[in-house]
Amino acid sequence: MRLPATLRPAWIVARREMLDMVRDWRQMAPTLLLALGFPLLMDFGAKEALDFVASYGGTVMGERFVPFLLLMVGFFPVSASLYTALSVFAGEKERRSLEPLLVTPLADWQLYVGKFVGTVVPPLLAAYLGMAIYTAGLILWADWHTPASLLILVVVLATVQATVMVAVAVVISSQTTSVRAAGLLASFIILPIGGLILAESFVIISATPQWLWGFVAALVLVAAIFIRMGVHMFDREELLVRDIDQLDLRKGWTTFWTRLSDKTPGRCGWYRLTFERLRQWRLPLTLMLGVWGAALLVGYGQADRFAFPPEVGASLTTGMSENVSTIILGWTSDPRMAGGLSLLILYHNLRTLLIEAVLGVLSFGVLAVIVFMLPWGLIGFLAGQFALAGVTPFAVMPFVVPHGVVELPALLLASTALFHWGAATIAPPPGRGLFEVWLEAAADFGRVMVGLVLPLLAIASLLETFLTPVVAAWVLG
Amino acid sequence: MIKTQDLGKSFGSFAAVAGVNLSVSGGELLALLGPNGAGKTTTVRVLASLLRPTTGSAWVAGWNVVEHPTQVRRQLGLLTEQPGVYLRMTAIDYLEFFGQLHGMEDSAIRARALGLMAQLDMAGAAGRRIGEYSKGMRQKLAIIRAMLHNPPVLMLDEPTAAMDPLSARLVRDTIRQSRDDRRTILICTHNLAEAEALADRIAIIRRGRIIAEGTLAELKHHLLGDPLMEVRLLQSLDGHRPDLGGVVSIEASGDRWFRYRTTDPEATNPLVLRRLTALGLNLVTLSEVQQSLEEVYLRAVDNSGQEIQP
Repeated sequence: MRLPATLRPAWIVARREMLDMVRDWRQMAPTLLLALGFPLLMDFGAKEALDFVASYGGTVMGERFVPFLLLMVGFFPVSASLYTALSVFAGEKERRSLEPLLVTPLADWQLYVGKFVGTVVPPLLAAYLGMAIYTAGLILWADWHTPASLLILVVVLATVQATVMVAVAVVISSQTTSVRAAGLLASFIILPIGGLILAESFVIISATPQWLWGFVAALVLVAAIFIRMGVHMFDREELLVRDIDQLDLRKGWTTFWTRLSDKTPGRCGWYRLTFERLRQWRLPLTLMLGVWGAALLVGYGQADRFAFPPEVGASLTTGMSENVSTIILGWTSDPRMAGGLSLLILYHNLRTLLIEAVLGVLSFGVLAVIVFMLPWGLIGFLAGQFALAGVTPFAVMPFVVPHGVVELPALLLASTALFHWGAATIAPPPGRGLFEVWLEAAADFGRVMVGLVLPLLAIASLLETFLTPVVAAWVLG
Repeated sequence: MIKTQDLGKSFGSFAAVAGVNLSVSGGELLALLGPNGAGKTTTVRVLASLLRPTTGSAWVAGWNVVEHPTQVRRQLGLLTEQPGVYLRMTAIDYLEFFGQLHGMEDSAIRARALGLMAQLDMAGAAGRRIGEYSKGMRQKLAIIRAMLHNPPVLMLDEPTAAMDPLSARLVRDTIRQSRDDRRTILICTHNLAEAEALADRIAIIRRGRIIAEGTLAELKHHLLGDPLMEVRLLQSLDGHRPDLGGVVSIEASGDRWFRYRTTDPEATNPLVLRRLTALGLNLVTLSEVQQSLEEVYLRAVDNSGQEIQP
């Protein structure tokens, strides 16, 4: 079979990487040991465990232990891909062999794909071999037949895990100048993957392996993000010119502050530039609006599934007006309490945004979107409860609209800025450093927060305290 | 085949290359000389489409280095500053790898690789692991890698670095042959003797700017002045210096020798000879004082405030 002409250069690079790995006994020895020796050891362990628990009549425990070992047999050889992937660019740069490769007429993506495939395939083959040996050993020595569905699941899981690890490691490798530095940064891979393996083990032992398909889906998403990031960040100039991994805090601060304080000439230049930047975010803003709608619908749809108990549902139709009136009475009788309530609402909103920021930055913006969905989902859910109680779902509007007209756009802006910040590193513009792009996105978030979101949220908290209950009471009669 | 127009490359506020104008045609060899950090390697990397220029434009084999990087790299053979070879591969596997990346057929790669290896006295080493090679052999292998796909443009950074004299001569012969095959060649080097021996034209770069450019003769003329002639005599010059004043202006002299400069040796030298004969002074030799590229280079670097373009 002849490869398409565009894939052939990538295959040439991949083949060289694989042959190089095969020639390196330091990589081959542990890989072979994990692929050939470890599964046999696990077979022995599995048989002993099955026999032991069977002698006490506890076969269920043994049967849960066996798939767990299959998971381990699949994962261990895959973990070897980490070292190779970490050195894929940093190592070549260290050995000065990168420049001759970069000067060949390969497209960036061909070089990236070649390196990626060359790094991920050998450990995966070793993992498949290990799983095959383990599975065959179970049949031969323990008369235990691994269900095909479980085998497929673990093979797919090992494949996506290896893909994620290599995708992240290649990104790290392309951003560092030495294998040592890349190795230090590898903890960003090892720790989450370690946690993931623990979670997978828990799922397997709790006999709900079908949940692992959820893990597969999440890992596919993560792999897609990092592969896109890797392809986008693959830049010959960056790879060549980056000489030292020196943390330059002063330069970082200058980049951040320049972006944050930048303004166009003329009056209100800072705000004008802020709105210009917002115009550039049409796509994420549109996405967020789509998420808004989707969350409302999902929340509304879940109302039926998680319906309020009848007595609570009834309170939606009767007594609502009294409840709202009580609230109004409370704050009108004690203005200090009303002021405190406004501050509390503002504090709550800011705390939510802070949590959203942390999650968003750590998850490339994904969790920022999910957190943003929650209030909308809740509104949809409440509307659904009104509908179930026989009231129009729009009855929720008086509780939301008076302050929501200010608060919800503020949250939309903040979440879009967060999504932009988190996702900025996935696809930095050519020739721009990862950290530089990240800092500028952080500054953009800061600009939107300081210039728009904070003032809007402050106004919204006052409206929510003083206006919304009045409107709600008036509408509900 | 290589052309740059106000080419500049900055890293932050540091201008590594600033307004470089170069032109090298087919069958011509230009030596780019300059102190460490002058901008030679950066210029070559921009020309190889590895770095994006900050200002100006450049073309290699007719392709713009920014707009058509792949075509540029297809037409180019680059010897990098360091050989950068894969130590676990055999030389022939290594060359096959790069040949395949350039889209060559396997049989063509083998024939060309073995031919070049034989030319550089490495025929017996094709099947050996590169890790077993000496530093000079690795450098020769890197040169073969650069020439393997028969590129019309060659850029060689310190081609004979780390080589013994015999290997260096073989490499120089190979480079000459490439030039005779009408290839465009740019050499970056600190080895002035090599530049003098190989280059059709020389460009001296300092602090990212070309401060002198031309043939060696042109550079000598502009930087060191008119040709300097030296006359050695059998007798002492005593008392005869004023008698020569009408013909030439003596720049330096000793007991039995003197030196003078002339813009036109073919016209001046016979006059000097006739005058010496008339004075009864017997001539031992009349020759041009050889002024090396090193002197040109040092003068250019000293005068780097002004640009010298013949």
